[in-house]
Amino acid sequence: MKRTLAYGGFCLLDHGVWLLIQLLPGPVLIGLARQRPWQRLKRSLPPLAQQHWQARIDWLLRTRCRLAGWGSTCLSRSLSGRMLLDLIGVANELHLGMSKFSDGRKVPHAWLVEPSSGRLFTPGLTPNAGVHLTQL
Amino acid sequence: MLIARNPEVCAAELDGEICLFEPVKAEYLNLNGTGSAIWNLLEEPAEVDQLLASLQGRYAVDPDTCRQETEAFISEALKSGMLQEQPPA
Repeated sequence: MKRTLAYGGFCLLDHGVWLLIQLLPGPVLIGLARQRPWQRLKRSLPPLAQQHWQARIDWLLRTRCRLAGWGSTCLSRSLSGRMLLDLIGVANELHLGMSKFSDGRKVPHAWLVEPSSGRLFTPGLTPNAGVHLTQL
Repeated sequence: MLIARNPEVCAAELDGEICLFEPVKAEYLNLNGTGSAIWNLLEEPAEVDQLLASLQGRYAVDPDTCRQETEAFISEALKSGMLQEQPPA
């Protein structure tokens, strides 16, 4: 029950971020992603609680990426994950790249990485079918 | 005027073609074969005429098409900020 509610909340956040991505011009958006004004709301948690919350956010992101539908993109999911992870003070890096579909179309991709271990919060590029361009 | 890459732009090669990302305006650009060849030649800033000469040396292309396509690419890239003009040193 709690999980369903949390997932619903996260869907709303994801969808809100998606709307922002549609509405805001690129320079503003990238400024937000770089400066992360929400970091002012950061909570300092004891390590155990932080791990606990990180596991929950991990689950939310995994589930959202698996079930994502209309009004959610790799960028909106990564940005909303970035917001939540910043709130509990977990380091994260937003990577941007270009991925290639099997039919040759090239599409930008965004994903979220834990910088120290390289663990992915949201799915990254398929091997040999994309390049990494930059990180924020 | 020398033509140079904008040092802020992130570039990577995918499938023999160059992908660019402009981090200030947050714009992606996929170059085609011609654009990628020109981008690769711009390792060092170069004049348009130098570019044309090395393109013609490397690829079998007739001079008119080459000039036309190169100029089209350069004006597009200057407009989108991927390339920039530099006064000769």
